[in-house]
Amino acid sequence: MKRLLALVFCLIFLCSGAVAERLDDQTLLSYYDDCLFIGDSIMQGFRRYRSAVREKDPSFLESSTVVCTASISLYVGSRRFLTGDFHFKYRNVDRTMYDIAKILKPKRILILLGLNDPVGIKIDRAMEWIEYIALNIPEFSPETEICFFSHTPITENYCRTKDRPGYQEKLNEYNQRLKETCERLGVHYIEIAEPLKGEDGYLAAAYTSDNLCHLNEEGLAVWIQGMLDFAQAEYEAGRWTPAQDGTTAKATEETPDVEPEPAAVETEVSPGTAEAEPAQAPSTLTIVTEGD
Amino acid sequence: MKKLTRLLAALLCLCVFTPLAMAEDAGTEEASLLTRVLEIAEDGDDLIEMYAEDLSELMGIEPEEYVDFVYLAGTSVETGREVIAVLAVDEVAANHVEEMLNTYLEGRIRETRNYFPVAFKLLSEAKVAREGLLVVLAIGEQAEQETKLLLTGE
Repeated sequence: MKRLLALVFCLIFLCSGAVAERLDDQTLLSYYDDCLFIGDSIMQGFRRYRSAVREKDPSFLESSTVVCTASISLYVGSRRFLTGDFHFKYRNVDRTMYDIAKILKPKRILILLGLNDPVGIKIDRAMEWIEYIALNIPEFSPETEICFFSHTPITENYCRTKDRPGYQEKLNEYNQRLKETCERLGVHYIEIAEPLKGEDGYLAAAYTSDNLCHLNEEGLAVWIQGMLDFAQAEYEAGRWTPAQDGTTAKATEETPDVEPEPAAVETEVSPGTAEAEPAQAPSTLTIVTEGD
Repeated sequence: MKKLTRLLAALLCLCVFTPLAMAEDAGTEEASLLTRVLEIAEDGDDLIEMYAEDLSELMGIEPEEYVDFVYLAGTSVETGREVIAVLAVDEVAANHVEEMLNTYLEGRIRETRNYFPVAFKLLSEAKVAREGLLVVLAIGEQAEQETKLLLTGE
Protein backbone atom coordinates (compact mmCIF):
# COMPACT_ATOMS: atom_id res chain seq x y z
CA MET A 1 0.00 0.00 0.00
CA LYS A 2 2.84 2.34 0.89
CA ARG A 3 4.49 1.59 -2.43
CA LEU A 4 1.26 2.31 -4.24
CA LEU A 5 0.86 5.62 -2.43
CA ALA A 6 4.45 6.55 -3.20
CA LEU A 7 3.90 5.66 -6.85
CA VAL A 8 0.74 7.79 -7.04
CA PHE A 9 2.55 10.65 -5.33
CA CYS A 10 5.42 10.40 -7.79
CA LEU A 11 3.02 10.34 -10.73
CA ILE A 12 1.20 13.42 -9.47
CA PHE A 13 4.51 15.17 -8.93
CA LEU A 14 5.74 14.28 -12.41
CA CYS A 15 2.48 15.33 -14.04
CA SER A 16 2.43 18.66 -12.28
CA GLY A 17 5.96 19.27 -13.49
CA ALA A 18 5.29 18.13 -17.04
CA VAL A 19 2.26 20.36 -17.56
CA ALA A 20 3.68 23.68 -16.53
CA GLU A 21 1.39 26.67 -16.67
CA ARG A 22 1.46 28.77 -19.81
CA LEU A 23 2.80 32.16 -18.84
CA ASP A 24 0.96 35.17 -20.22
CA ASP A 25 2.45 36.86 -23.28
CA GLN A 26 3.59 39.95 -21.37
CA THR A 27 5.59 37.80 -18.99
CA LEU A 28 7.02 35.70 -21.81
CA LEU A 29 8.05 38.85 -23.68
CA SER A 30 10.07 39.91 -20.66
CA TYR A 31 12.50 37.14 -21.70
CA TYR A 32 13.54 39.57 -24.44
CA ASP A 33 14.04 42.62 -22.23
CA ASP A 34 17.47 44.20 -22.59
CA CYS A 35 18.19 42.09 -25.62
CA LEU A 36 19.94 42.95 -28.85
CA PHE A 37 18.43 41.79 -32.13
CA ILE A 38 20.81 41.61 -35.08
CA GLY A 39 19.80 40.99 -38.66
CA ASP A 40 19.32 41.98 -42.27
CA SER A 41 16.32 43.25 -44.21
CA ILE A 42 14.08 40.62 -42.67
CA MET A 43 14.97 42.10 -39.28
CA GLN A 44 14.16 45.57 -40.63
CA GLY A 45 10.59 44.35 -40.97
CA PHE A 46 10.79 43.17 -37.37
CA ARG A 47 11.90 46.64 -36.24
CA ARG A 48 8.99 48.36 -37.98
CA TYR A 49 6.57 45.79 -36.68
CA ARG A 50 7.81 46.50 -33.16
CA SER A 51 7.10 50.19 -33.64
CA ALA A 52 3.66 49.45 -35.08
CA VAL A 53 2.74 47.28 -32.08
CA ARG A 54 4.12 49.89 -29.70
CA GLU A 55 1.57 52.40 -30.99
CA LYS A 56 -0.97 50.24 -29.14
CA ASP A 57 1.25 48.69 -26.49
CA PRO A 58 4.15 51.04 -25.62
CA SER A 59 5.83 48.36 -23.51
CA PHE A 60 6.20 45.93 -26.42
CA LEU A 61 9.89 44.96 -26.61
CA GLU A 62 10.53 48.44 -25.24
CA SER A 63 13.92 47.75 -23.75
CA SER A 64 15.27 45.79 -26.68
CA THR A 65 17.56 47.17 -29.36
CA VAL A 66 17.22 46.18 -33.00
CA VAL A 67 20.21 46.64 -35.27
CA CYS A 68 19.75 45.67 -38.88
CA THR A 69 21.20 46.38 -42.29
CA ALA A 70 19.62 45.30 -45.55
CA SER A 71 21.94 43.24 -47.77
CA ILE A 72 24.34 42.29 -44.99
CA SER A 73 25.41 38.66 -45.03
CA LEU A 74 26.12 36.22 -42.24
CA TYR A 75 29.75 36.21 -43.29
CA VAL A 76 30.23 39.99 -43.15
CA GLY A 77 28.05 40.27 -40.06
CA SER A 78 30.17 37.71 -38.25
CA ARG A 79 33.49 39.48 -38.81
CA ARG A 80 35.39 41.33 -36.12
CA PHE A 81 36.35 44.05 -38.55
CA LEU A 82 34.46 46.19 -41.03
CA THR A 83 34.47 44.74 -44.50
CA GLY A 84 32.49 45.07 -47.70
CA ASP A 85 29.84 47.65 -48.47
CA PHE A 86 27.37 46.86 -45.72
CA HIS A 87 27.89 47.26 -42.02
CA PHE A 88 25.78 47.28 -38.93
CA LYS A 89 25.13 50.78 -37.74
CA TYR A 90 24.51 51.84 -34.20
CA ARG A 91 23.93 55.55 -33.63
CA ASN A 92 24.74 56.03 -37.28
CA VAL A 93 28.28 54.77 -36.87
CA ASP A 94 29.48 51.67 -38.72
CA ARG A 95 30.25 48.97 -36.19
CA THR A 96 30.63 45.22 -35.93
CA MET A 97 28.12 43.24 -33.91
CA TYR A 98 30.89 42.78 -31.34
CA ASP A 99 31.33 46.56 -30.97
CA ILE A 100 27.60 46.90 -30.38
CA ALA A 101 27.53 43.99 -27.92
CA LYS A 102 30.41 45.60 -26.06
CA ILE A 103 28.55 48.89 -25.80
CA LEU A 104 25.16 47.52 -24.84
CA LYS A 105 26.13 44.41 -22.86
CA PRO A 106 22.76 42.89 -23.70
CA LYS A 107 21.23 40.07 -21.73
CA ARG A 108 20.85 38.12 -24.95
CA ILE A 109 21.88 38.66 -28.53
CA LEU A 110 19.44 37.23 -31.07
CA ILE A 111 20.69 36.81 -34.60
CA LEU A 112 18.94 36.24 -37.91
CA LEU A 113 21.32 36.38 -40.86
CA GLY A 114 22.05 34.27 -43.92
CA LEU A 115 19.67 35.47 -46.61
CA ASN A 116 22.41 37.36 -48.42
CA ASP A 117 25.22 34.79 -48.43
CA PRO A 118 23.11 32.77 -49.26
CA VAL A 119 23.72 30.19 -46.56
CA GLY A 120 21.69 27.41 -48.20
CA ILE A 121 24.42 26.84 -50.78
CA LYS A 122 27.36 27.14 -48.38
CA ILE A 123 26.20 25.36 -45.29
CA ASP A 124 29.61 24.16 -44.10
CA ARG A 125 31.07 27.65 -44.25
CA ALA A 126 27.98 29.10 -42.63
CA MET A 127 28.45 26.75 -39.67
CA GLU A 128 32.00 28.06 -39.31
CA TRP A 129 30.69 31.63 -39.18
CA ILE A 130 28.04 30.67 -36.64
CA GLU A 131 30.75 29.09 -34.50
CA TYR A 132 32.92 32.16 -34.98
CA ILE A 133 30.16 34.39 -33.60
CA ALA A 134 29.47 32.06 -30.69
CA LEU A 135 33.14 31.98 -29.76
CA ASN A 136 33.77 35.71 -30.16
CA ILE A 137 30.76 37.35 -28.50
CA PRO A 138 31.82 36.30 -24.96
CA GLU A 139 35.06 38.20 -25.34
CA PHE A 140 33.12 41.45 -25.84
CA SER A 141 30.17 40.75 -23.58
CA PRO A 142 30.82 37.77 -21.33
CA GLU A 143 27.38 37.59 -19.71
CA THR A 144 25.43 37.73 -22.95
CA GLU A 145 23.52 34.62 -23.99
CA ILE A 146 23.65 33.89 -27.70
CA CYS A 147 20.59 32.89 -29.71
CA PHE A 148 20.23 32.13 -33.39
CA PHE A 149 16.88 32.22 -35.12
CA SER A 150 16.26 29.55 -37.71
CA HIS A 151 16.39 30.94 -41.24
CA THR A 152 12.90 31.98 -42.28
CA PRO A 153 11.52 30.22 -45.37
CA ILE A 154 11.31 31.62 -48.90
CA THR A 155 8.55 31.39 -51.49
CA GLU A 156 8.58 29.20 -54.57
CA ASN A 157 8.68 32.44 -56.54
CA TYR A 158 11.98 33.29 -54.83
CA CYS A 159 13.52 30.05 -56.17
CA ARG A 160 12.41 30.96 -59.70
CA THR A 161 13.32 34.65 -59.53
CA LYS A 162 16.74 34.07 -58.02
CA ASP A 163 17.33 30.95 -60.11
CA ARG A 164 17.85 28.81 -57.05
CA PRO A 165 15.80 25.66 -57.62
CA GLY A 166 15.27 23.56 -54.50
CA TYR A 167 16.60 26.32 -52.27
CA GLN A 168 13.96 25.77 -49.58
CA GLU A 169 15.17 22.16 -49.12
CA LYS A 170 18.67 23.55 -48.69
CA LEU A 171 17.42 26.00 -46.11
CA ASN A 172 15.76 23.11 -44.26
CA GLU A 173 19.12 21.36 -44.19
CA TYR A 174 20.80 24.58 -43.06
CA ASN A 175 18.35 24.95 -40.18
CA GLN A 176 18.92 21.34 -39.12
CA ARG A 177 22.68 21.91 -39.12
CA LEU A 178 22.24 25.23 -37.32
CA LYS A 179 20.24 23.51 -34.60
CA GLU A 180 22.91 20.82 -34.16
CA THR A 181 25.69 23.42 -34.14
CA CYS A 182 23.90 25.50 -31.53
CA GLU A 183 23.43 22.43 -29.32
CA ARG A 184 27.10 21.56 -29.68
CA LEU A 185 28.19 25.11 -28.83
CA GLY A 186 25.76 25.50 -25.95
CA VAL A 187 23.93 28.45 -27.48
CA HIS A 188 20.22 28.79 -28.20
CA TYR A 189 18.41 27.88 -31.38
CA ILE A 190 15.01 29.53 -31.75
CA GLU A 191 12.68 27.85 -34.19
CA ILE A 192 10.58 30.30 -36.17
CA ALA A 193 10.74 28.82 -39.66
CA GLU A 194 8.27 25.94 -39.53
CA PRO A 195 5.14 27.90 -38.54
CA LEU A 196 5.79 30.30 -41.41
CA LYS A 197 5.55 27.53 -44.00
CA GLY A 198 2.50 26.67 -46.02
CA GLU A 199 1.42 23.15 -46.90
CA ASP A 200 3.90 23.09 -49.79
CA GLY A 201 6.83 23.71 -47.44
CA TYR A 202 7.54 27.20 -48.74
CA LEU A 203 6.90 30.55 -47.06
CA ALA A 204 3.11 30.83 -46.94
CA ALA A 205 1.62 33.47 -49.23
CA ALA A 206 -0.30 34.90 -46.27
CA TYR A 207 2.93 35.76 -44.47
CA THR A 208 5.00 37.48 -47.14
CA SER A 209 5.10 41.13 -48.16
CA ASP A 210 6.97 40.67 -51.45
CA ASN A 211 6.22 37.08 -52.50
CA LEU A 212 9.93 36.38 -52.09
CA CYS A 213 11.36 36.23 -48.60
CA HIS A 214 10.24 39.24 -46.55
CA LEU A 215 7.52 38.99 -43.96
CA ASN A 216 4.36 41.03 -43.64
CA GLU A 217 2.70 41.88 -40.32
CA GLU A 218 0.98 38.50 -40.09
CA GLY A 219 4.29 36.74 -40.70
CA LEU A 220 6.03 38.88 -38.12
CA ALA A 221 3.30 38.04 -35.61
CA VAL A 222 4.09 34.35 -36.21
CA TRP A 223 7.75 35.13 -35.56
CA ILE A 224 6.86 36.79 -32.26
CA GLN A 225 4.74 33.74 -31.37
CA GLY A 226 7.81 31.56 -31.99
CA MET A 227 9.76 33.75 -29.58
CA LEU A 228 7.04 33.42 -26.96
CA ASP A 229 6.99 29.64 -27.38
CA PHE A 230 10.75 29.53 -26.96
CA ALA A 231 10.56 31.58 -23.75
CA GLN A 232 7.84 29.25 -22.48
CA ALA A 233 10.00 26.22 -23.29
CA GLU A 234 12.90 27.78 -21.40
CA TYR A 235 10.60 28.37 -18.47
CA GLU A 236 9.26 24.82 -18.54
CA ALA A 237 12.78 23.43 -18.72
CA GLY A 238 13.66 25.41 -15.60
CA ARG A 239 16.32 27.41 -17.43
CA TRP A 240 14.50 30.73 -17.03
CA THR A 241 12.16 32.25 -14.51
CA PRO A 242 10.52 35.63 -15.18
CA ALA A 243 11.55 37.02 -11.79
CA GLN A 244 15.12 36.05 -12.48
CA ASP A 245 15.64 38.67 -15.15
CA GLY A 246 12.36 40.42 -15.66
CA THR A 247 13.88 43.85 -15.51
CA THR A 248 12.68 46.33 -18.08
CA ALA A 249 15.36 48.96 -17.89
CA LYS A 250 17.17 49.48 -21.14
CA ALA A 251 20.55 47.85 -21.26
CA THR A 252 23.07 50.20 -19.78
CA GLU A 253 25.59 51.43 -22.20
CA GLU A 254 29.09 51.14 -20.97
CA THR A 255 30.80 53.36 -23.51
CA PRO A 256 28.17 54.79 -25.82
CA ASP A 257 30.52 56.72 -27.98
CA VAL A 258 33.11 54.06 -28.45
CA GLU A 259 34.28 54.06 -32.00
CA PRO A 260 34.77 50.74 -33.71
CA GLU A 261 38.24 49.37 -34.13
CA PRO A 262 39.69 50.57 -37.39
CA ALA A 263 38.72 48.46 -40.34
CA ALA A 264 41.53 46.14 -41.26
CA VAL A 265 40.83 45.67 -44.92
CA GLU A 266 38.03 46.80 -47.16
CA THR A 267 37.01 43.95 -49.40
CA GLU A 268 35.76 44.88 -52.81
CA VAL A 269 32.25 43.71 -53.53
CA SER A 270 31.33 43.21 -57.12
CA PRO A 271 28.05 44.78 -58.21
CA GLY A 272 25.17 42.38 -58.31
CA THR A 273 26.27 40.32 -55.38
CA ALA A 274 25.12 41.13 -51.90
CA GLU A 275 28.39 40.46 -50.12
CA ALA A 276 31.66 38.75 -50.71
CA GLU A 277 33.51 36.36 -48.50
CA PRO A 278 37.03 35.00 -48.75
CA ALA A 279 37.73 31.53 -50.07
CA GLN A 280 38.53 30.33 -46.58
CA ALA A 281 36.97 31.87 -43.53
CA PRO A 282 38.64 31.61 -40.15
CA SER A 283 36.75 29.81 -37.46
CA THR A 284 39.01 30.30 -34.51
CA LEU A 285 39.13 32.79 -31.69
CA THR A 286 42.13 34.50 -33.20
CA ILE A 287 41.71 38.22 -33.77
CA VAL A 288 41.32 38.63 -37.48
CA THR A 289 43.51 41.26 -39.01
CA GLU A 290 44.65 41.98 -42.50
CA GLY A 291 44.05 39.53 -45.25
CA ASP A 292 40.93 37.87 -43.90
CA MET B 1 -16.61 105.86 -13.71
CA LYS B 2 -17.52 104.34 -17.08
CA LYS B 3 -13.92 104.70 -18.21
CA LEU B 4 -12.68 102.94 -15.12
CA THR B 5 -15.15 100.11 -15.63
CA ARG B 6 -14.06 99.72 -19.25
CA LEU B 7 -10.42 99.74 -18.23
CA LEU B 8 -11.06 97.09 -15.60
CA ALA B 9 -13.01 94.99 -18.10
CA ALA B 10 -10.20 95.29 -20.63
CA LEU B 11 -7.64 94.30 -18.02
CA LEU B 12 -9.78 91.34 -17.03
CA CYS B 13 -10.05 90.26 -20.65
CA LEU B 14 -6.28 90.51 -21.06
CA CYS B 15 -5.68 88.49 -17.91
CA VAL B 16 -8.12 85.76 -18.89
CA PHE B 17 -7.58 85.43 -22.63
CA THR B 18 -3.87 86.08 -23.07
CA PRO B 19 -2.71 82.98 -21.16
CA LEU B 20 -5.34 80.93 -22.98
CA ALA B 21 -4.14 82.14 -26.34
CA MET B 22 -0.53 81.51 -25.37
CA ALA B 23 -1.34 78.03 -24.19
CA GLU B 24 -3.12 77.37 -27.45
CA ASP B 25 -0.10 78.57 -29.39
CA ALA B 26 2.22 76.42 -27.32
CA GLY B 27 0.00 73.40 -27.86
CA THR B 28 -0.03 73.95 -31.59
CA GLU B 29 3.74 74.25 -31.69
CA GLU B 30 4.23 71.16 -29.55
CA ALA B 31 2.32 68.91 -31.90
CA SER B 32 3.25 70.80 -35.02
CA LEU B 33 5.74 68.50 -36.74
CA LEU B 34 3.71 65.31 -36.42
CA THR B 35 0.50 67.14 -37.18
CA ARG B 36 1.99 68.91 -40.16
CA VAL B 37 3.46 65.74 -41.63
CA LEU B 38 0.17 63.91 -41.17
CA GLU B 39 -1.60 66.77 -42.92
CA ILE B 40 0.90 66.87 -45.76
CA ALA B 41 1.57 63.16 -46.39
CA GLU B 42 -1.28 61.54 -48.26
CA ASP B 43 -0.37 58.13 -46.84
CA GLY B 44 0.21 59.54 -43.36
CA ASP B 45 -2.36 57.28 -41.74
CA ASP B 46 -0.63 54.19 -43.13
CA LEU B 47 2.79 55.12 -41.81
CA ILE B 48 4.24 53.76 -38.59
CA GLU B 49 5.34 56.27 -36.00
CA MET B 50 8.90 55.49 -35.00
CA TYR B 51 10.37 56.46 -31.65
CA ALA B 52 13.10 58.66 -30.26
CA GLU B 53 15.13 55.48 -29.70
CA ASP B 54 14.92 54.75 -33.42
CA LEU B 55 16.17 58.22 -34.22
CA SER B 56 19.03 57.70 -31.79
CA GLU B 57 19.92 54.10 -32.67
CA LEU B 58 19.55 54.44 -36.42
CA MET B 59 20.68 57.98 -37.02
CA GLY B 60 22.66 59.01 -33.98
CA ILE B 61 20.35 61.97 -33.34
CA GLU B 62 19.89 62.40 -29.61
CA PRO B 63 16.92 63.97 -27.74
CA GLU B 64 19.00 66.84 -26.39
CA GLU B 65 19.60 67.98 -29.96
CA TYR B 66 15.99 68.71 -30.84
CA VAL B 67 12.84 70.30 -29.47
CA ASP B 68 10.52 68.32 -31.71
CA PHE B 69 10.77 65.52 -34.23
CA VAL B 70 8.67 63.23 -36.31
CA TYR B 71 9.80 59.95 -37.81
CA LEU B 72 7.31 58.00 -39.85
CA ALA B 73 8.04 54.88 -41.90
CA GLY B 74 6.11 52.64 -44.25
CA THR B 75 4.98 49.27 -42.97
CA SER B 76 6.91 47.48 -45.67
CA VAL B 77 10.68 47.91 -45.97
CA GLU B 78 10.55 47.31 -49.74
CA THR B 79 8.98 50.70 -50.42
CA GLY B 80 11.67 52.74 -48.67
CA ARG B 81 8.98 55.17 -47.53
CA GLU B 82 10.09 57.42 -44.68
CA VAL B 83 9.54 60.96 -43.47
CA ILE B 84 11.89 62.43 -40.90
CA ALA B 85 11.69 66.01 -39.67
CA VAL B 86 13.76 67.34 -36.81
CA LEU B 87 13.52 70.80 -35.25
CA ALA B 88 16.94 71.31 -33.72
CA VAL B 89 17.63 73.24 -30.53
CA ASP B 90 20.27 75.45 -32.14
CA GLU B 91 22.49 75.94 -35.13
CA VAL B 92 25.17 73.50 -33.94
CA ALA B 93 22.58 70.77 -33.36
CA ALA B 94 20.96 71.48 -36.72
CA ASN B 95 24.33 71.03 -38.45
CA HIS B 96 24.82 67.70 -36.70
CA VAL B 97 21.29 66.52 -37.48
CA GLU B 98 21.79 67.44 -41.13
CA GLU B 99 25.07 65.54 -41.24
CA MET B 100 23.57 62.48 -39.54
CA LEU B 101 20.59 62.39 -41.90
CA ASN B 102 22.91 62.61 -44.89
CA THR B 103 24.99 59.72 -43.52
CA TYR B 104 21.82 57.74 -42.89
CA LEU B 105 20.58 58.41 -46.42
CA GLU B 106 23.89 57.30 -47.95
CA GLY B 107 23.76 54.07 -45.95
CA ARG B 108 20.17 53.38 -46.99
CA ILE B 109 21.03 53.94 -50.65
CA ARG B 110 23.94 51.50 -50.38
CA GLU B 111 22.02 48.77 -48.62
CA THR B 112 19.05 48.83 -51.00
CA ARG B 113 21.13 48.98 -54.17
CA ASN B 114 20.99 45.29 -55.07
CA TYR B 115 17.82 44.54 -53.25
CA PHE B 116 14.88 46.84 -53.30
CA PRO B 117 14.70 48.60 -56.67
CA VAL B 118 11.72 50.77 -55.73
CA ALA B 119 13.30 51.86 -52.46
CA PHE B 120 16.67 52.39 -54.14
CA LYS B 121 15.17 54.71 -56.78
CA LEU B 122 13.29 56.78 -54.21
CA LEU B 123 16.26 56.94 -51.87
CA SER B 124 18.55 57.98 -54.71
CA GLU B 125 16.22 60.86 -55.52
CA ALA B 126 15.80 61.93 -51.88
CA LYS B 127 17.66 64.88 -50.40
CA VAL B 128 18.19 66.19 -46.92
CA ALA B 129 16.81 69.73 -46.84
CA ARG B 130 17.02 72.45 -44.23
CA GLU B 131 15.45 75.76 -43.39
CA GLY B 132 16.85 77.38 -40.27
CA LEU B 133 16.68 74.81 -37.49
CA LEU B 134 14.28 72.49 -39.27
CA VAL B 135 15.89 69.55 -41.08
CA VAL B 136 13.80 67.27 -43.29
CA LEU B 137 14.38 64.00 -45.08
CA ALA B 138 11.40 62.70 -47.01
CA ILE B 139 11.58 59.52 -49.08
CA GLY B 140 8.68 58.69 -51.36
CA GLU B 141 6.87 59.56 -54.56
CA GLN B 142 5.81 62.96 -53.18
CA ALA B 143 9.01 63.64 -51.24
CA GLU B 144 9.93 66.88 -52.98
CA GLN B 145 6.52 68.40 -52.44
CA GLU B 146 6.37 67.18 -48.82
CA THR B 147 9.79 68.64 -48.08
CA LYS B 148 8.85 71.98 -49.60
CA LEU B 149 5.61 72.19 -47.64
CA LEU B 150 7.30 71.25 -44.39
CA LEU B 151 10.11 73.75 -44.79
CA THR B 152 7.91 76.62 -45.84
CA GLY B 153 5.36 75.82 -43.16
CA GLU B 154 2.51 76.02 -45.66
